[in-house]
Amino acid sequence: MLKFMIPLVVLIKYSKEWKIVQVGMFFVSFILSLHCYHNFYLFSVGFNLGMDYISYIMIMLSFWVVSLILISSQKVKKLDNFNSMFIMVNIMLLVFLVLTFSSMDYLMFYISFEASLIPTLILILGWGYQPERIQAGIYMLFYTLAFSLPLLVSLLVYYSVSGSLIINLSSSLSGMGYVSKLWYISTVLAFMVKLPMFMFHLWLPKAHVEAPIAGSMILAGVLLKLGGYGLIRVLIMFQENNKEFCWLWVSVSIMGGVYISLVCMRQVDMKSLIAYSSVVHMSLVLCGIVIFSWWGLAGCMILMVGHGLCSSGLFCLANMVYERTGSRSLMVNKGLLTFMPSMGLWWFLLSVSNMASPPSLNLMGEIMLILTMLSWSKLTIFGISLLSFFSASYTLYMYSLSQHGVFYNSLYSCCSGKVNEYLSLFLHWLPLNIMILNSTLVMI
Amino acid sequence: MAALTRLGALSLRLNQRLLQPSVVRAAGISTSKKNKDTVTVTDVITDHGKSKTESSEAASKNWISWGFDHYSQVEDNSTMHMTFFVAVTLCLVTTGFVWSYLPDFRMRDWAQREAFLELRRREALGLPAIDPDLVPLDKIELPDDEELGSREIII
Repeated sequence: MLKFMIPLVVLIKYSKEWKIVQVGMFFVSFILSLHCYHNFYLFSVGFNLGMDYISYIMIMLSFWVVSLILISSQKVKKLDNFNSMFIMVNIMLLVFLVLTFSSMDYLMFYISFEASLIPTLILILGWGYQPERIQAGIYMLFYTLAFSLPLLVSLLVYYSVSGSLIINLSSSLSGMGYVSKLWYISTVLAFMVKLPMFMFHLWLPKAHVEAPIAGSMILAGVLLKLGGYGLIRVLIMFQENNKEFCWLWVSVSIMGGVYISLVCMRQVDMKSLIAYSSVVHMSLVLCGIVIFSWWGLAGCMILMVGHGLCSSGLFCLANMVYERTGSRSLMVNKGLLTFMPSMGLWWFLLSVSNMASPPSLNLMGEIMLILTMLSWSKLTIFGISLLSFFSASYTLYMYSLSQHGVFYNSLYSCCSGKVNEYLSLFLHWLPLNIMILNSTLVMI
Repeated sequence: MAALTRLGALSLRLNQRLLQPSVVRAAGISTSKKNKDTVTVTDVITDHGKSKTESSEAASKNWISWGFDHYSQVEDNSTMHMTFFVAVTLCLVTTGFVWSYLPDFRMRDWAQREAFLELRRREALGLPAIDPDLVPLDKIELPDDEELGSREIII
């Protein structure tokens, strides 16, 4: 594992040279991608860090998204807006994320999980645009912190009960009455907030809207998946208690997903719409995880990767429009096909991937998750059908409203797409649509 | 890596003529009659020698950035080349190649082969495909009713 951490730390030294870090980050992703051949359960083990199938996929995703962040954040570089600090914060975030995903110890996982919030907060407060970002940062920080302190307590209690916090040595806890229920709730709530589940989702639209493009991409791309990944790791300990409670999470997620997709249809702010759509996708992921069947876990991994790429790409697109028109509102940014017809291709490709059309990874993930939920209970079909339908409809709403029609009259100039923007979108879209051909690479 | 970068940037800076041709043919195409009766076609070959640094500035006056660097054309160009190489050639093409030709990834083919071999063996011996006593009954310990208490049984 050190062979990926050391280059990252070395890259901090080069934080003044954007070019070197940009190229270096892609290079480390390449080296990481060559480590895919593993027939053993756990590999690259060392210093209490190791990778198994899920970790590998998530670390690969983190590296890829951060590389794409460096390409898409050219405005920071152009305006010389604390360049080296920006790069350093991004690399620190990546270090914490890699530590989180590769930690073999629950406490190390928890510490890195919390630590990854700080660079995100610095990104939002430092490079965001609006004064509301202070409130957004507070929401994000305190929602996550408040619900994850019980997680710390439960991990320490687990340590005192079973003597070890190594994830691979964790065993299922036998029931002890209501204490185990409380234990279970306090453990999983942290991840429910991170995912986010419907009732605890308020921080997400705020954080996404106020964050700069780097913050949005890393949030949508990787940080939400921290919740999913954490849940998979933690539910090993609580399998019996999980079976008692999964009806609650599935119901809240599905109904919440339906409500949120209806809320999406009413959004005027593009980033807000994409943020709410993230909540919808993650609600499906949550259902898949708590049902804890094989297809559920595989589907949730695939959907996490697919959503990470797709949402991140959509945020890139929304940011490109914001950089040109100065507004995220759908009422101002309409008729964009007139100004940037080539960008319309990418809007289309990423939008249809968002609504789980073939051949995207989202499709495969959603199919697997829908089958999982139906095999768990046939009643979920009502929620799932509404969720899928409205998911397609709000994506279509966003695409059509932003692209079609007559352009906004007050827009006097609009730079056509730059090559780095097209590259960033292409690098989002290609893995999303090609990986379905060999999806065992992203399955659990 | 840094050395490679600097070398690339240096070579591009020195060899700026890589970015523009050294000999430009400026051929006028207007064939309308001017003051005289005869038609003259001016065909001038201008040579951008090393001394003509002003014209190289003129050539990059209407430079459109690739998006990687907005202030220096050389930087922009070299960053573009490097990023595309690492991102597309290495990460997409090479990785895609490696991933698509991975031999027996996660031992799926091996597992299927073993399954078929086992099935053939069982059919030859007349056994069922899966033993109904896969887990011997005497090894299964179910909890008593008192241990279960009021807990729900979920299957």
